[in-house]
Order: sequence, then structure tokens, then C-alpha cells
Amino acid sequence: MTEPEITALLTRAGDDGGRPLETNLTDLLALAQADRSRRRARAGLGVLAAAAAVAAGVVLAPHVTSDEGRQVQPAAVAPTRAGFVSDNEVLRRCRPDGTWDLTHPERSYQVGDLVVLEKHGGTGKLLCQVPEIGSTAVASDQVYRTFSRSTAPLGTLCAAVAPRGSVPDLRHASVLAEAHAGNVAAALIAGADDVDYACAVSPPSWDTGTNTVSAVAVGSLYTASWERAAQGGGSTTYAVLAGQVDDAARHLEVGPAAGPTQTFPVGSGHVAALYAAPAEAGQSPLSWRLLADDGHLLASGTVD
Amino acid sequence: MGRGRDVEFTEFAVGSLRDLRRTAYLVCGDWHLAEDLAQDALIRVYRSWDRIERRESLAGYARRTTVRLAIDHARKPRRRERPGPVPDRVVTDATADLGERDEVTQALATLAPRQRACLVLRFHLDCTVAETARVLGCSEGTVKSQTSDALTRLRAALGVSTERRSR
Repeated sequence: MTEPEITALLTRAGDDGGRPLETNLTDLLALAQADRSRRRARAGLGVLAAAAAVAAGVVLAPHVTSDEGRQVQPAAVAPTRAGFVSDNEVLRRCRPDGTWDLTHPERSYQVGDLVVLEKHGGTGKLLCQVPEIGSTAVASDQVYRTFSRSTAPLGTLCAAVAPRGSVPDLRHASVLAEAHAGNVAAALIAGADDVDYACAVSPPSWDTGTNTVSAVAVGSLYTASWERAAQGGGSTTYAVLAGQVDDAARHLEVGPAAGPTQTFPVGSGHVAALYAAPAEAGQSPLSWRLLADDGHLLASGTVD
Repeated sequence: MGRGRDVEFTEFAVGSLRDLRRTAYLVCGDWHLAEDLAQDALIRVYRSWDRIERRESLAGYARRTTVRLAIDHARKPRRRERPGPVPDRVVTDATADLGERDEVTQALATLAPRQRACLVLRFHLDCTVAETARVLGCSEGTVKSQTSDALTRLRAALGVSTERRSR
């Protein structure tokens, strides 16, 4: 049986003989729209839940100083989110010393929102969750820990650390995939059209590390790596890889060419991987391999 | 964007639904299920509308999604409990054509779903071995062996059918 014969055979077998279509296209469009709305709502629910938790004061209640000057737990303090807080007021509540600027002054903020402040002259950054009037902002790393713990806050964190101008406001965007390694987190954030955003964040107090959000074209993989000196000697190599890849991919392997690899899951073509391993002298560059269910190699490359 | 997308999507659905149903039918062997799968595929196309880079790739994306959905459906336990595909009859067909088509359909029904998918992707949708492997999430070697096995079984099944008809 030749190829044209097989093709002809299948064409005959698939001939519907004029069988009418039963699909109502108006209904189909409505179904498609509902499906899209549902997926968007599902992605947004996480953000709303986090916002609601903040409003209830259960995620990150600001410390309150009592008349005696000691800190008390603000069990009775329920931050309200009614109304916006001006930029100057955000700065005053977060760092009243007057030497900081907002990274994103173009955005509007309410109590409970996450902001990034930059020291005048660009010598430092810190995170702040806009506190209630009369409350003291919590430490930058504590805010980071809270906002890197689960999907929706991680998306919020990525939106906050994103550079101004080159990346849109991602505060309400969906997190398609995320990964954590110690104090570092990575995420793939849904963008618009054919562009997503790869995000990598580390605690603000780290002397080195990365807090970055970069556009990544659908179908390609964003890669970046860096080293950080570990306490007590030695250093750790980190690599972040994120993107929308082949639907058939199930695993992403990352590691030096001759050495142990780390494997990360790929779901629905979305992947965010965070490689972390002790840095070794003379270590070969990291490479990655995208694998199908049965281990079939779909794509490979090196980490930039 | 929304209104333009809806109009474009509806135009695309009108032009491709029948083709997608045919593709799904070749894998699942059931016209009703095939139309459901084609609808599901179109819903996924709508979901990814902004992400599909070039419009000309829409048809290929929709077809591959249809095959993938048909394979996924075949993997579900409730599907395994059902007997092989039972071809629906089309009342407008000429009797001779119907008999021949039924024979081919029944021969296809003797194949495993992934074998049918290999044949459909390779010879109906004209995918390369590599493209077929990507759609099915397996190696190119697996595609080649599945295709070879499928053709052997298909020849055998059609041979039996021919013998029966000649009696």
C-alpha cells in the first residue's frame, strides 16, 4: 500500500457524505467566551483571595506601636482598602526619611498594596506593603517572604519588581507556572498576544541576586543564571528558565553538561524552573533539555 | 480586540468545523463524538487565539489539537469500556460507497487509538514524523513503529474484508 493509497483510503473513510453539522456556531462562540472568562476568573481568584486576606489582616498585618512604645499584634486592626493613597503618603508611610522614590509612580496604590521603593541615587531597593495610617511598615524581607509564598502573591511580587516602562502592569495577570528554591522564586506570567513574562525574585537584602521581569516570546524559553556567595563560604549557582513551550513537553532538565541535572515539570506547555546547586570551580555551562513523556528530546539549549 | 476576535473566530470555525470533525472521526470512529471533539478543539483555539502567532497556522494548530483531544478521550477509562468505534451511516450515501467506506472504517477500528492517530497525522494531515512525535508526545522511533504496525494491521484487516466480500 503506497502513501497516496493510504491517504486516499483515509479520505474515503473520513468522507462525511454530506452529514449535516449539528454545531450552532453562536452557541460555540458563547461556550468559547465562557471558557475564556472562566479561566481568567480562576486566575484572578487567587489574587482576590490574597487581597481579601490582606484586607482581613491575616496575611501581613502591620505591626502597631502602643502608647508604651512596645509592638503589639494588631488583631483588632483591619486595614481598609477604600480609597487610594497618594504617592507621597505611600512614601511617608513606608519610609518617612524622604530619601526614597516609588519604582512605579504611574500606578495607583491602596492600603495593602505592594510597592517597591528605590533609594535616591539608585543604591538600594526595598519592598513595602502600604500600611494603615499610624502603622509601621514591616521589614522588606518579611514582605518578600509573604509575597513569594504562593501563586497569586508571587504574581503580585513580580509585578512590583518589574522595571518601569518596558513591562506592562502585571498586577492582575495570571501566573502560568512557578518554582521556588530556598529564598528565590521564579514565575511565568501571562502577558498579551504572543508575549509572556519570565520573573525571578530574591530577597531585597541579598547583596547579589536578581529581581527581574523580562518578556519572553511564546514558543521560546527565557534563561538566566547568576551566582551568590553563601554564608559560611562557597557559593550557589542559580538559573531561572521560563516560557511557553511545546505542548508535548512534560519535563525540563537543567544541569551542567557533565553533572547531575535537576528536573522540573511542564504543564500545558508552561514551565518555570529554578535551578540551584553549589557552584563548583571550572563547572561547565548549564544546559537544558525539554523532554516528552517517554523521554523523547523535543528541544535543548544552554543557559545564558 | 474582543469583537474582532469573535468575528475572526466565527469565520474560522465556519470554515474548519467540518474538516476538524472529519479528522476527529478518523481517530475516534464516532461522528457525534467527533463533532464534540471538534468543538472542544475550536474552544481551545479561541482560548489561545492571541497566542497563535500566524493566522495561517490556525488550521494546523486546530487539527493537531483535535487529534490530541481524540487521543486523550480514548485514554479515559469510560472510553476503554466501550466497544470499538461503530460507524454511523449516512443516509445520503450511495450504497456501494457506503459499503466500501464501512470496510475501511471497520479496518481502522481494529487499530489502537494511537496507531490511528499516527496514520491520520502522517497521511491525512501530512505531518512529518517529527511533527507527529511532538503532537503525540512520543519519540520519532515510536511514531515509525506505530505507523508500521498500523499499516500491517490495516492491510490484514482490509484483506479479510475483501475475502469476505468475494465469497
